[in-house]
Amino acid sequence: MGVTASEVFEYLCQERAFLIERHEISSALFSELRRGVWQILLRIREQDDPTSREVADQLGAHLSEWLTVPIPFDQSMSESLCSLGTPEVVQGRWGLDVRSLYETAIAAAQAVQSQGNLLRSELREIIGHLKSTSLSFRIFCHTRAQFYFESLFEHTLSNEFPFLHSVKDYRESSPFDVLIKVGPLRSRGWGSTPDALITAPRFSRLLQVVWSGCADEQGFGYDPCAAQRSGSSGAKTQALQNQIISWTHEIIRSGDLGPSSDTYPSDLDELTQLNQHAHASEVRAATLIQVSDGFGILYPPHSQVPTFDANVPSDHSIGYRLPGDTLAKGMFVIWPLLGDADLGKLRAGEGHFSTIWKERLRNAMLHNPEDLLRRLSVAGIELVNLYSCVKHWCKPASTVIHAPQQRRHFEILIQTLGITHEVSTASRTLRRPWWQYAWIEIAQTRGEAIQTGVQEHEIIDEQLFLILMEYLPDIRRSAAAGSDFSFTIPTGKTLKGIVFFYPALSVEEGFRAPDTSLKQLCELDTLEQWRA
Amino acid sequence: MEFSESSRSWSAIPDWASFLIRLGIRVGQVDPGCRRIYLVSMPCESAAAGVIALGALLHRLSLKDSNDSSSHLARLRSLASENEPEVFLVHEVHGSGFRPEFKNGILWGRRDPIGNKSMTRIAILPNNSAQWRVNGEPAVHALSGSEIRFQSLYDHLSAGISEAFPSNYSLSDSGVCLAGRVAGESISRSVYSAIRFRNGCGHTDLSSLLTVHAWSPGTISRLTYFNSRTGQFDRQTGLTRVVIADGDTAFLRVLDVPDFRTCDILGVIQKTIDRGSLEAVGVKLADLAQWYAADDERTENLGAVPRGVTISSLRRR
Repeated sequence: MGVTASEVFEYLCQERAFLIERHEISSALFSELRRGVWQILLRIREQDDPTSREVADQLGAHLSEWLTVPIPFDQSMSESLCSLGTPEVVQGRWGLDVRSLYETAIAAAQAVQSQGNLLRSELREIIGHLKSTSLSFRIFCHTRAQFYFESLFEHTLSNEFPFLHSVKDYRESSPFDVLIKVGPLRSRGWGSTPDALITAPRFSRLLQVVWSGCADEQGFGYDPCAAQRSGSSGAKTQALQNQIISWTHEIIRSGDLGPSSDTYPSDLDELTQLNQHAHASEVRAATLIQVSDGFGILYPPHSQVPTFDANVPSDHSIGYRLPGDTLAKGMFVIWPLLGDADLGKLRAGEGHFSTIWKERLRNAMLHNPEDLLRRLSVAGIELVNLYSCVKHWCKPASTVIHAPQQRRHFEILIQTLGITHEVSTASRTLRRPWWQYAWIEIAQTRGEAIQTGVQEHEIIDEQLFLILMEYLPDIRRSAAAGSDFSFTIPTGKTLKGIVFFYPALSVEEGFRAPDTSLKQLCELDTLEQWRA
Repeated sequence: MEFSESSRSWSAIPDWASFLIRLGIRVGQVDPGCRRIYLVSMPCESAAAGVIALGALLHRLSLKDSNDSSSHLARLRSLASENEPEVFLVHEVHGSGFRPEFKNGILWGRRDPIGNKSMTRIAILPNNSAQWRVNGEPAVHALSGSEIRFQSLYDHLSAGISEAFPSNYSLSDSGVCLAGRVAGESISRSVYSAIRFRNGCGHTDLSSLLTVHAWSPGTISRLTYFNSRTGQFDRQTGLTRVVIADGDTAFLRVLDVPDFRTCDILGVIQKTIDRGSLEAVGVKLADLAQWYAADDERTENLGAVPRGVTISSLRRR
C-alpha cells in the first residue's frame, strides 16, 4: 500500500476548495484542419467497403491523437494525411468533393506547421511556472504520450516528478497540489482518465489544457453510490450533497482568432462524435494486455486468461486470472501453440507454410514489385497502402506471422503467387487448398481457436497446466529474467507443441473491439484503432 | 485506545475508522422483516470492509443469544441427513474421525475401527452437542484457553455504543460473514493486518480481531469467511445475517450467492477503479431498484460522513 487511507482522509479533510482550471486553446488554422479531416472521415465512413471504413478509423485515430496528446505540429501531420494517396487516387476512390476536402486539409496541415502547436506553448508555460513554485504536481497521460510532454523541455521531466498513466498509478499516489491533464475529461478512449480524479481527488487544482470544442464527457466523475441515490429520489438529498466533493470551474481562453474573425472559432466536438459512432458499431468492451514492446492482446470482460505468476507459491502460480483484476503487470500470459490433429504431418515445424509463401513473396517483390502490386490490386486487394502492406507481409515471423488481416486477401495473395500443393504430397490426406493450411498457421499464431468449443479449450488448458506444473522449476528459472520465453512440451505428453510466456507489461481498460480482434496477438498500432 | 496503519506511528483512532466501526455496528442491527443492501464507496484503497465487519462483530457481541450453540445440534442432524462423505466430526475429548449418522432415531458420532481399536459410537445429545465440532471449523464454545483474545480491545472499541455480553467471548457465532477480496484470502488478510489497535492491555491487528477461523485457529470464531475468489465458505452454518463484501467484484458475487439471498449485504468499493467496474456495480444497483427503495434512515445519526465517502442504502419494498 503506497498511500494509507489515513493520509488520504487527512488530506481530504484539510482541503476546503477544489478547482478545475480549464485552459481552452483556439487556433483558426488547426480548426480548419480539424474540420477538413472530419468532413473527409464522415464521407468515406459512409462507403460500404471495409477499406474505406479502415481509412476512416485511421483518420479518427489521427484526430483523436492531435486533440489529446501534445504532439508537435510538424511534417508527420501532413505525412499521416498523405498516406491516403495522391489527390487523383483519392478522387478516383471517393469522388471529387472528398478530393477537394483532402487538398484543403493537406494545405491546412502544412500551414499549422508554421504556427506550431499552441497547446504545447501553453503547456510549456504552465509547467515552467509550476516548476518555479514549490507546488508539487503530476501529469496524467497515456504511456505513449509521455514522450511528447518530455519533449517540451530539454531534459526529462520524469526525473523531477512522476507521470500518472493509469487508475492504478493514481490509486497509489500520495496527495499532491496540481494535476495537469491535456484533453477533455473522458472515462474511455483517447486521453481517458479515471473518474476518481473528480470523486476522490488527491489534489486541489486540476489544470486542464484542451482544444476548443472538446467538451468533458457528460457524467464524468461517476460514482455508483451517488448515481443510485440521486436517481432514486429524483434530486440529490442534503446528506448526499454533503458527501459529494464539489468543484469550482474556471475557464481561461487563449489562442489566435484567425484572419477574418473577432471571436474564437466554434469547433466541433469530434471526440464525442467518434465515441458515439464507436458505441453504435458491433463491438464490445475489451482490456489490452501489452506483452512486448510492440504487441498486445485484447481480452473481453471477465476473460479467464491462462497465466503464470512467478511470485506466488507453486500450487497457485499457474492458473486462470482476470485481466485488470487478478492478472496484473509482471505476470506472464501463457500462449500455447499446440499441435492440431487436423494438421497432422503437414505441420513439419513452426512457420512451415509461412517460410514457403514469404520466400515466394520476397522474390516477387525483388524482381518485379510493380507487376505483383498490379496483379494483387486487380485480383481484389484494395488496400490504400498496398506497397507498405506487402513489404510488411515480407517481414520474417516474430511473435506473429505478418500476413494480411483478412482471410480473403490472403487467399488472393497465395493464388497470385501461384502456390499450390506439390503433386507428390497432394495425396488423399490433403483435403483443402494450400492457402487454407497456411491461413490456419497464421491464425494459430494470432491465437484463434485451434479447437472448437469452450469445453474443449478448458480440457486442453487443464492438461496443459498439469504439464507445466510438472516443469515448474524450469519455467521459474526461465521467468527470472522477466522477459518472454518459450517452453517446448517434451515428447510423450498428452499435448505437443510450444508454449510461449509473455510478460504482461501493462494492463489497460478502455477498448471496444469486434469479436474477430479479441484474443489475438496483434501489433499495438493495429489495436490502437479499437481504443474506445 | 490507539490506531496504526501500515506500520505508521500510533495515534488516536482516526475519524474515518471510528465512523466505519459505528457504521458496522449499525449495519449489524439486522431487521428480520426487511432485507437491506448497502454500498459504501471509499476514496482510496483501504481495509474499510474489515473495519465495518469488526463493527458488526462488536454488535453481535452485545447480543445475548448471538452464538451458534442453539442451532448447533440442528446443524449436526442436518449433516447426518445429508450424509456427505467428506464431513467428519471432532469430539473435544475423543478426537477426530467421527461421522454423523442416525440410528434408531438417535444422532450418533461413529468412528470406524482403526488398527486394534474397536469401533466407537457416541450419542450426540442436546446436553453434549457443544463438545462436537465439524472438522476444519471452530468449536461452538471455547475450551479453557481458547476464548476470544484481546477482550479489552473489543470493550474499548465498542465503549459507549454497545456493551459485550461476557459469555459471547467463549462462543462461536456465524451471524456476520466477511466476503474477502476476489484477489484472494491471503491478500485480504494482509490488508486487514495493516490496521493495528492497542490499549494499555496489549495490541493486535484487525485480522486477529475479526477471528476468522483460518487466521486465528486456536480460538472460537465470531465471524465466517467467504472466499469470493473460490466461492467457498470457511463454515456453512446457515446462520449468517449480514455479509460485508470487500470490493466491487466480491459485492457482485455475493449478491448472487443463494446462501445469502435473505441476508443484509454491505459492499465496500473504492472510487479509484476503472469505469467499467464502477458501471457494473451501478447497473446492479439499478436492477435492484425494482424491488428496493432508497433508505437513508439506517445510515443517519452516525456522525458526519468522512469527506470522500459516499453511502447508499436500499431497503426491500
